[in-house]
Amino acid sequence: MTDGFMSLNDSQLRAVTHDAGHLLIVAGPGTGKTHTLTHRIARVSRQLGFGQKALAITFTRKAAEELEERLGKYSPEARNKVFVGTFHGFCLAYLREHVEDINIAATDDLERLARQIWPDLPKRQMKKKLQSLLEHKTRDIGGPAPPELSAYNQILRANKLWDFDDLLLEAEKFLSGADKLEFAHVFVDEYQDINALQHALLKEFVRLGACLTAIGDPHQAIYSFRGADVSFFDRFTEDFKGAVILSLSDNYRSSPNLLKASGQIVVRETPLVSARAADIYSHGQLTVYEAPTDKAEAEYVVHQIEKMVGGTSMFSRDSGRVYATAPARRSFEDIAVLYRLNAQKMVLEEALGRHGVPYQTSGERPFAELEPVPGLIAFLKKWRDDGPLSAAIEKLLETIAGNPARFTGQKNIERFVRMSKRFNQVQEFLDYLVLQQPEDAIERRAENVNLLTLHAAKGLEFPVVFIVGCEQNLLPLSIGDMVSDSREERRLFYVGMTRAQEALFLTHARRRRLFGRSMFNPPSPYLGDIEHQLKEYDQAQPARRRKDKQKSGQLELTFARNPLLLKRESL
Amino acid sequence: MKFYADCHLHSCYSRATSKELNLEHLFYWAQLKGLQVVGSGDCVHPAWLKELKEKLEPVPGGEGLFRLKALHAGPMQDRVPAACIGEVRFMLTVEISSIYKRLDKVRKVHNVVFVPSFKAAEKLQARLEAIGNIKSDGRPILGLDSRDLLEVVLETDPLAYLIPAHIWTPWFAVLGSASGFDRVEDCFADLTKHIFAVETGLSSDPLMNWRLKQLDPFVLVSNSDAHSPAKLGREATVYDTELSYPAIYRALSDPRDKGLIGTVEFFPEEGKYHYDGHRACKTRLHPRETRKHKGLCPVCGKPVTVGVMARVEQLADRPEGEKPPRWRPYRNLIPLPEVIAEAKGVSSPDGKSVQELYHRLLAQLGNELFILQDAPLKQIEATGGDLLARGINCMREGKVDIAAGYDGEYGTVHLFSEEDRQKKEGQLTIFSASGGSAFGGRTSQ
Repeated sequence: MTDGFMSLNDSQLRAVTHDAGHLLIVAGPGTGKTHTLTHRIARVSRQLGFGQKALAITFTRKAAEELEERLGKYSPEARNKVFVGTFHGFCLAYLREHVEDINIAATDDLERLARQIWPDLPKRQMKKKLQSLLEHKTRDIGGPAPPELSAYNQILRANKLWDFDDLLLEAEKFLSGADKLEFAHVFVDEYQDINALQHALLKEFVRLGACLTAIGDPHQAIYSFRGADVSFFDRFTEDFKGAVILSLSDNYRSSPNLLKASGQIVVRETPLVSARAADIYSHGQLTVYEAPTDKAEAEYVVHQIEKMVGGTSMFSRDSGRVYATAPARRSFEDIAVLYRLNAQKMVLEEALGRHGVPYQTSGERPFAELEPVPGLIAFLKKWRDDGPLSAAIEKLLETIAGNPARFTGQKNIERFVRMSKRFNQVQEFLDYLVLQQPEDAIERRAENVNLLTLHAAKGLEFPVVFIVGCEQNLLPLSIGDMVSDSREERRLFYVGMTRAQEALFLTHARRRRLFGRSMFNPPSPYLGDIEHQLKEYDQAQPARRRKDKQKSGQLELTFARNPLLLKRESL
Repeated sequence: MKFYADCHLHSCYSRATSKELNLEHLFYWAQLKGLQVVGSGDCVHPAWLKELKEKLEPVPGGEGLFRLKALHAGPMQDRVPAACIGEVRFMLTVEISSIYKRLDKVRKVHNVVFVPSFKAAEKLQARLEAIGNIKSDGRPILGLDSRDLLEVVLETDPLAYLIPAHIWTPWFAVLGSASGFDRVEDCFADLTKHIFAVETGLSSDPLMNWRLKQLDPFVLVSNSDAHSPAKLGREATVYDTELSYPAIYRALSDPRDKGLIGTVEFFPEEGKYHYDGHRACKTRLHPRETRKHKGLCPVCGKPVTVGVMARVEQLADRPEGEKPPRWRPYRNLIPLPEVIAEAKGVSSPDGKSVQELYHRLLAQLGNELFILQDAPLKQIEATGGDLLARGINCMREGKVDIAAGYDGEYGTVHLFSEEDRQKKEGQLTIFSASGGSAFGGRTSQ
């Protein structure tokens, strides 16, 4: 395939062809981030010397697969010179060359071990302690450690287990003792969300002679709760000598200071949110809707979906619930419903399920931990050294057929088998499984409406996006001991908004039931930040005030029975 | 043996269906209507499948079909008039609604799936459960491509098959104007060869379907798509073969098999999507008029819902009246309660006096399909009066006046003028009293 440089604009071209040392590319939403990154990787890889390779690090496994696919299309030649994976994926592959037996602990294992450290704590508190311990491992490298950390590490080792971030820690140890690296160039996606440990790894790469390209958007940094630190973004030129910063949104070279300033804009000021809103509104498709309750909010979302899909059943058509005269433009996969907390999901699932709208949810747990996958993995481990994966899978299926009660969860068994087809060796497949993150747990077989947390929506785009629960106490989050950094919450909201390609719905409910109690939340302050004139107020109103707008008596009746239909059309 | 089959219908677990859609009522109404084979509908719905397994049993010598166990059939059997009593067999079926994007357009296609055993139904259930939600609606909505659905079906059992449902319905069909494809093979791609039958739906009859050469490889079937038991058998497929699943499968799939006799149909004008128009604007347009209005509704100015007649015309490549090689005869019928209501000059076929006469006719003459097609007019007159007999005769001769259905609105039938109703007794002598004409095509418009 050709270079396809024709498809690049000036700022993208400059980023792709930059030859002088380390580079940080600032790529806001809609600036063609992946497109630019792919072209840069392809170009740089083709210029590599004999025996040299490149390393491309993505935030999720899914993003890695996408990048691999695109690279293969642009330049199969470059594709073969690049290792594409997550930080963890790279470290596991790297360590396999140096360490014999690596067993990654599942969440269940970790909680079992943590019990030995805190025998008397209630489960929730114990989990919290464990969480902060794990976070510490990625954040405060070399700093003062919590007293339990060494006990925790000892127990882990005694059980011949590693936790997820041990992969990075160990890889960093090996790298710091190494004197050469096969990767001449390292690319890092989503640089705004890297943590101290990952940063330390990158430093080692550079020490060993690698040239670094990072790409990201500081306005979209949302993973500090996992130890990510957006300040690395601002410090790029200090950290890496001779580094240059290019911005895709602007056609000029930003100074580090300017960048810092724009990094702060999103922190306090609102032009970003309203600029994005203006952008969306210019297509005429920004809708704000206030519902009396969370149930009504969910009902509204489902109804909008039914309308966009043009009715999901004869009934929804014939009853007048949905009455469209043009063919549907949307199907289920075009639509995402985003929320701040997984706890908000239930009422949405209930409404979608009741109306028979197919949906899929972002995983709260990685695939490897879903029933009955741990059992399947344990089975495969026994066959690790015994021939190809396909033979092991066959034996596994025989075992399941012989004892169906032992493995329940047809759906996940089928998916397990399907996934296995991409691998030849048992260990390859096991490594792949262990690296699966909760975000990867979505699988596309049939089309579904996507239910995702705002965090899980990172990096994805949809023609239509609903953000539900645009309320104080949820956005920004402040419920009980769940309080989040307000700047990060604002960025999270920004990330959610920027997932929408064509239509964005921001909904909130006056009354909501969450964690077993009622909340009365005013609208999120972020809604107020969107300039008033941009908003199409989209509210339920009494039937009589709408009457003049209706043309047929029959429809009027239907509308009167369905208060949700009384809203003003904004699409 | 000759038998009538109606295999596309729904249980009470589908949305917007009657609570009475249970096995007992299906068993009862099948006999009243004159059906020997009825579909179970909804056979992958967990609660319904459980009920099916509990209440149905295999029939010796009738492989792949099931009958209601005596324990459940007994109480209902007592309510069936002696003149209507007949065998009833159940076939495991389910309609699936697929909504998905193909070639940048949203497609919404309904398909009916048939399986020969509970084992196959459970297998299908497991496969579909892994793909989507099958619990909230007896007719599940899946984001699954029709072609991929067919693949899943074919993997379920060698005798499992799929029939595209009411293929002309604008919003939910393989050839639908607003949801489908221009060719059946565009929908099922490499697996099209596994499709051997298509369902005409209420708004089209074989005469219309014959106009498309692309449909020549398929036989035409008809079913009621009933959402309440009384609607059972309003359309049906007629077989003359062994009463078993493999025999039905052969009759549909094997071009040399003579087991498929034909279909009984609505007058297509009575269907909900025959003409074009807008229900909300009360605009009913003949395709000719639609063209005059450039496809826009004269009331609201938006594009009209294009009905079946126009859509057939759009895709047709054979002149009207010419028959394809594998054509089967068919008959247009009007549901008996509607004919009674028309004769009585009342608007609702559900009214008490209509229903009373309806059940009296069933008790004295036999099942509805027999009354509509074959009962001697004299006998009909004796129980139902002269006007009714004349109405049935008009229907048999195709002399009906129907205000065609459009955009979801059923068509309305007129068999008599006010003048006709005024005329009293003694008219019947002008008819031949033979009745029971050969099973053949519609004789006039």
